Amino acid sequence: MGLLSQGSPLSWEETQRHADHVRRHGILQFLHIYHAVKDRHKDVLKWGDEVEYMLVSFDHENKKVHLVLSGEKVLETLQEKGERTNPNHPTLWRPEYGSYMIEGTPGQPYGGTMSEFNTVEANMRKRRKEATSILEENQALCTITSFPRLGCPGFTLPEYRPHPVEGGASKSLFFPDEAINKHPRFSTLTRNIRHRRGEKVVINVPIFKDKNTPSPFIETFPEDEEAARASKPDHIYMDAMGFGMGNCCLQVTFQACSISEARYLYDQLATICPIVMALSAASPFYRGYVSDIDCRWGVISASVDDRTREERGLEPLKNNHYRISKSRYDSIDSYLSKCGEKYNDIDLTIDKEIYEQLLQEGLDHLLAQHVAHLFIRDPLTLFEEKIHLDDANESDHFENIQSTNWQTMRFKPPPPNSDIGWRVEFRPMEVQLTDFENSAYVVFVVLLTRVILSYKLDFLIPLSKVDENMKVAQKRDAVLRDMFYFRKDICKAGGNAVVDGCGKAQNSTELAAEEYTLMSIDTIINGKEGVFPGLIPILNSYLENMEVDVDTRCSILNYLKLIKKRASGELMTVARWMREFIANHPDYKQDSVITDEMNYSLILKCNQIANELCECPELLGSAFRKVKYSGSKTDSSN
Amino acid sequence: MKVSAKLFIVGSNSSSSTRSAIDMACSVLGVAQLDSVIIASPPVEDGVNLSLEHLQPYWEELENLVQSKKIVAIGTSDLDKTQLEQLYQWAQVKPNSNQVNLASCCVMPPDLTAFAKQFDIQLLTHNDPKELLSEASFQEALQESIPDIQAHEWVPLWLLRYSVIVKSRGIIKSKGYILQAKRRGS
Repeated sequence: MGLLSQGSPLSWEETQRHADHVRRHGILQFLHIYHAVKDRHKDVLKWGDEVEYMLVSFDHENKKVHLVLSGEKVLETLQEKGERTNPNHPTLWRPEYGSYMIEGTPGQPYGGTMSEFNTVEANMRKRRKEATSILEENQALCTITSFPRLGCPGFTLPEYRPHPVEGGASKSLFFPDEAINKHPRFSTLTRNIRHRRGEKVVINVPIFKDKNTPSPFIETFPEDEEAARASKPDHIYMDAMGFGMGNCCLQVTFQACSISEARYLYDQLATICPIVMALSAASPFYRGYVSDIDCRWGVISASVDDRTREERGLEPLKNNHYRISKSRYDSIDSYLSKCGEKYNDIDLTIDKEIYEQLLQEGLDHLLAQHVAHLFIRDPLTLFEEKIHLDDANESDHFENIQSTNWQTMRFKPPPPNSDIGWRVEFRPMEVQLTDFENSAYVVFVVLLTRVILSYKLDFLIPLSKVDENMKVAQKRDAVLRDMFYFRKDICKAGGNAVVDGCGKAQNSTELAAEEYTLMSIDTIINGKEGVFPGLIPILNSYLENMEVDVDTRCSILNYLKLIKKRASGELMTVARWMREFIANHPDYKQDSVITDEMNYSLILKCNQIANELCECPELLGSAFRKVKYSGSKTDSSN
Repeated sequence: MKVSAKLFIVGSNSSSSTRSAIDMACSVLGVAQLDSVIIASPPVEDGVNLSLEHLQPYWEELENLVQSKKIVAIGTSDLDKTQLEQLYQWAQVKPNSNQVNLASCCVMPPDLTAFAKQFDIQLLTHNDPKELLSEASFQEALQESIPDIQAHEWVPLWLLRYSVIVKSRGIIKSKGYILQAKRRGS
């Protein structure tokens, strides 16, 4: 999850003293990159996925499942056997926030040809197999977005009890610091967010009210004043960064052919984020309870919200510079392309000095305000050895701020002195149980970028509507029950538009109001006669014009079938499937409580599905599967 | 950049259609050469199976176009293993690809897959209907756009679909159709 520098981390007070220094030099570092590569052109398409995994251990005798705090050791072994032995190794492994997490990516980025779509799933399988092969008996690698009993007593192996003391990282009543990755960046981030905020983070997720759920549902925390104050009735209360950043997700990064193509894709995909997030919904359970949301987004957002009371508008500004409307982890706040400008309708807090400086350096208004907005944030971690840098050849200070702005999309300048192009990262997706599903979502998004660029599509709507969509997308069963703002005529740009140009000029807001309407996800994905053509029909039309070999086409056909059926409701989202699994569990008392044993059965089932030891047609359909493999060591039934 | 085309023979006309279609495509697109041309199976009478004899005149013309460097690679569409093998054995310029219908891409006949692999013929997919453009629907479209034409007098001869692809980026630069029709009796 971003930049990892080794060294001695500074306390929040020390870090804060250097904040202006980091910002000043971060901007200089960005400007060096910008001036060096702003005109870089003709980069080819390269792209890659990132899958996050949890390490779990099954205790078949006691019917319990734990998160194993061995991520650092597993990572070390994987890197030693992999990339350090062979620079062309097909997989790469990186640390993640939880000590029970690792992140895997393909060893080399994928390229622009169609047959590459057929290698994604094989590579994901390779990753799963590779990591599984070094686990201990009864352990497994799971791609689940949120662990249902995260933060419940004894959820880790080895077991640790939380120590809610000021000197610790989280000061959590539930999430022990031992469950945080041992790299100092992670605990420092955790502690500094808390110190900057001036109190523990507060996450309140509405509880799902089942037949026997107490109403009002109230938990009391007499031993902790902060918790007693922060927890809300009818909500599941959480108090640590780990409840958010300890979740897994699925991301895709693309290299664009130029800075303007990157800005165009950034904007277009921003509108797609809530739609695909709802389609990928996979996280209905928190801290052992059934919640009323299906997606992790708001939980992570609150889990890293470092804003002070002043910045959140609860107290008059005295020590801080700005009111800030969103957490560092949230949906994007401004479009970057010229076509997007008129849809930038949310208040954008910027650092005015930085903005002026960037304009003087020749940046246009939109890019300048984007960077000046990212840079309203303070650095959250700083290492003593990494304060004074060579601004022309390093970018750590820029990356420090950039990589702790966790938004739905990320606009990524090339690293200094590299031949990497301008990139955008698509970040809203929840991770799915199987490599098949994860490949399907990744391929869908990459194909969509190709279609957007080929047909010069225009999905832009006012950003305030994208924000509304993000909120709706997290609701329970949003994919079937809710409506989303979406642009009606996406071909407006016509055939003569160029990537950084716009369609017909339309400045009046009355006109803009007619450009979009509320649609169901089924309509957006599959189309509806006379209303909207549908993204999948457009993808199919694109595919008909590309030369695609039969094997690749078969895979894509199955991937799009999954997306199509998830959108129409013919297949369940992971979130819906998990809800039904729990609802039908013999131990479930319709009281929104997930016990250790229910959690065990659920995760065991998830692992069997992921390793193709059992079928799950209600989730996956009866898609034709080409490769069979079994890499599980954990199935208790054989 | 890769320029590809698929040629659909509509009428029961002479194989010279092939050459005029390719010439027309090159001139419309402003290129000297097409990278790939696939010929859709020519229409045959009901109840008759497509045989090598049906394909031969068109294929010979395509071979000439390859020899005169108008086309780089040529391919077929919807041939089964037997048909493809017959063509392959007879042809001077071998097919480098054969398109199969999207509906069968997940249930490929193993003999076709094995044959294609052995002789390095790419198996690609298409999603074209059996009849891309009937005489009647062509005439209807013609009447709509040019009201004072005697549409029923016009019969389509061939239809060519082209696409220009930026391969390294997976992007369609342009695509379109070219069609030739002639007036009945002229």
